[in-house]
Amino acid sequence: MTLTARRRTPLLAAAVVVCLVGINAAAPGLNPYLVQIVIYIGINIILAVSLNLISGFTGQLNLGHAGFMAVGAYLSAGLTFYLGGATQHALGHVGIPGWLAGPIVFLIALLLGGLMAALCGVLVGLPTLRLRGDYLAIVTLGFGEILRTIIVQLDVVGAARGFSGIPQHTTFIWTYAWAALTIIAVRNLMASAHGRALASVREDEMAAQVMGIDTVRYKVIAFAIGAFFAGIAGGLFGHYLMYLNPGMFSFLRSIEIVLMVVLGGMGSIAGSVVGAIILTVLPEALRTLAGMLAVAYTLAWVGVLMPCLARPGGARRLAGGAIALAVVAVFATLVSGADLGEGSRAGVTPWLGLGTLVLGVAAIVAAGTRRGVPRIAVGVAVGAAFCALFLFPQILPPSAAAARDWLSANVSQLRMVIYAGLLIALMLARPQGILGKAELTWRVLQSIFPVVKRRAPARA
Amino acid sequence: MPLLELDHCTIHFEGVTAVSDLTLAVEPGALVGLIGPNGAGKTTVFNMITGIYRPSAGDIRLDGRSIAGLAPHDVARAGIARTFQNIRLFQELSALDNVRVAAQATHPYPISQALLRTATFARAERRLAVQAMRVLRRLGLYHLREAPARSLPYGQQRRLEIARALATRPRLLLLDEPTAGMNPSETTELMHLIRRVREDFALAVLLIEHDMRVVMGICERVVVLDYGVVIAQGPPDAIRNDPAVIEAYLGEASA
Repeated sequence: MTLTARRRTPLLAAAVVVCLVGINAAAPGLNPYLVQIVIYIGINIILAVSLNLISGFTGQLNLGHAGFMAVGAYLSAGLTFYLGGATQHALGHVGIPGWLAGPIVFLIALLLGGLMAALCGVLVGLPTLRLRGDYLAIVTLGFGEILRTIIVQLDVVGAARGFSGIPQHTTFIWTYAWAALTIIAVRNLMASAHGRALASVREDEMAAQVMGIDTVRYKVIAFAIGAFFAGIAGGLFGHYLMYLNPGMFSFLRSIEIVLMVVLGGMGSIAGSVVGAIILTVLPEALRTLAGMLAVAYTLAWVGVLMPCLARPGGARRLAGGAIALAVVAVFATLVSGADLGEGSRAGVTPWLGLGTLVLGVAAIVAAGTRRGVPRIAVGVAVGAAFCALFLFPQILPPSAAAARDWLSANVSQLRMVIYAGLLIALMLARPQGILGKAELTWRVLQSIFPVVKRRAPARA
Repeated sequence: MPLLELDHCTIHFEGVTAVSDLTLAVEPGALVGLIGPNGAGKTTVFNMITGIYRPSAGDIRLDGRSIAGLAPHDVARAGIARTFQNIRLFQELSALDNVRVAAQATHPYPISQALLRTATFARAERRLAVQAMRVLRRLGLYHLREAPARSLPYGQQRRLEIARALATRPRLLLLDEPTAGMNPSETTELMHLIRRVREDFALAVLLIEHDMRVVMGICERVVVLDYGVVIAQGPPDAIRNDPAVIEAYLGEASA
């Protein structure tokens, strides 16, 4: 079976919709902690991809992205909190049913929050037209802090106490639909003349001007679009957590988003997605001993698999096998409705171990080197032992179990040290980011899964 | 009426007068050389014409319309394109994208069309690609269109800069030392190219050059600048024998 360009887009869209609806339906039965992480991943994808438009594609270092997020979060939350009920009531009067009125109100609030953030993006873009590099970074940093400080002074949204009582509207579908929209918007933009203009600003501003590019206008456009999506992400965040606090949008938050973009690869949308996933999951995984071991184990796997990756075509087949099996594993988990662990934080980690085990099996299937098999087999054995350790603790002798419990209780203090160490190691290993400038295109997918085939171009 | 007129242009930088009372005209289709010793203010003249610097006094006119004080991108859209002495390509972009960036001012379409991938977007992009490919083919760079600019050999980068400038559909092309760093055979090839490009694209060319072989070989008129002041102008043969020029420039070279 082959898929042509005309047929694959609706097919992909349908698949995505089915997945979202399925996950959304399954969400109430899942571990709420896990659900929260997955929602945060989606919000962080929106933030990272939108920052990548400003910093990666247009080359304007922005250390104030959390400020834009705060504007969107507070404005949309304020709207739903103060006007949401009355608006839903009014919508009911004109015959719009209740189940539809809520989402309509939420959508309008989100959009207004995004637009307000975009306006702030234009405001920060305008005075910084003549600034470059580190000077611009300082101005954006200051601007983000100013936005936050203004919010601290606003009593209607709870000032420094925080803003509580925000209605919960954000779901899987809302989050990932917006993540998809962000990705599509940035991709479409970058594949157009306007995107090339943004890239030319990054490459050489003076040369771009002399070639007829209005660089001022394009910098403002990049800031406006990037800030719009950051505002949306803020709105989703507030309406998920039902509480906002100015401290959530500090300079550190901005740095975190910059890290996602840099780690994934400046100027790669797929890189920003990967960066957002890793930097959302990593700090959570490091909360427990089991999580730390799982991370260490995953990294060890990356080392073991290096020989497979070095073979021509090895990386592709490995990725293909891993992606396919991971999808199967995720769906098996969701369909079985399993409560992951005891509903506690530690519950996630055996599944991380299991995931890497799956990766090992995939590697054996996909890589198919005779020399690599013994090493992979050792890896799988370690993975199985690791899972057993946490899934069936009764097999441990009591003294070993006690030692494990003591470590679990105390090791979390090292969390940020290990986190920072891992970031340093990752950046040293790949200074250009995990994906560099590479994208996950149809051509790449096609080489991974031969099923997805493009019809040979017709020859005249 | 001349295509480009510099009318008593002067530019100061914090007390230093880089160009002083410069008056210069380029007729449509002419090929004019701008020469002078290092630091004479030649590149400053280019920066003034293209809007990067604003003249402290005097006026610059294109087709009789004043362009002094316009932003660089408006000057480019008015019909002036240039290359740089030190190559300034968009290094990470492909050769094709370098040219498409320059071509897009002539095929504008709104950003909303790009976000929504409409038919208007597809049509405009197709026209852009066709125009860019045509320029690349003319300059013999078509087979390198997918290569990032930074990966091209030096001579091809110089060519790509000219291709990029031509894609803005200029009426006046400013070339800043196009043969710098080239060997004699590459230089000869480039001389032919400049001549051909001028015919094919119906352009006037203003050329900064140090290589006297190029200047004497292709320029119809030569302007000599020294310390920001025009010390001579006229046909190449007359310039070659002008005592002031020999004193300031050629004498220095032959000494």
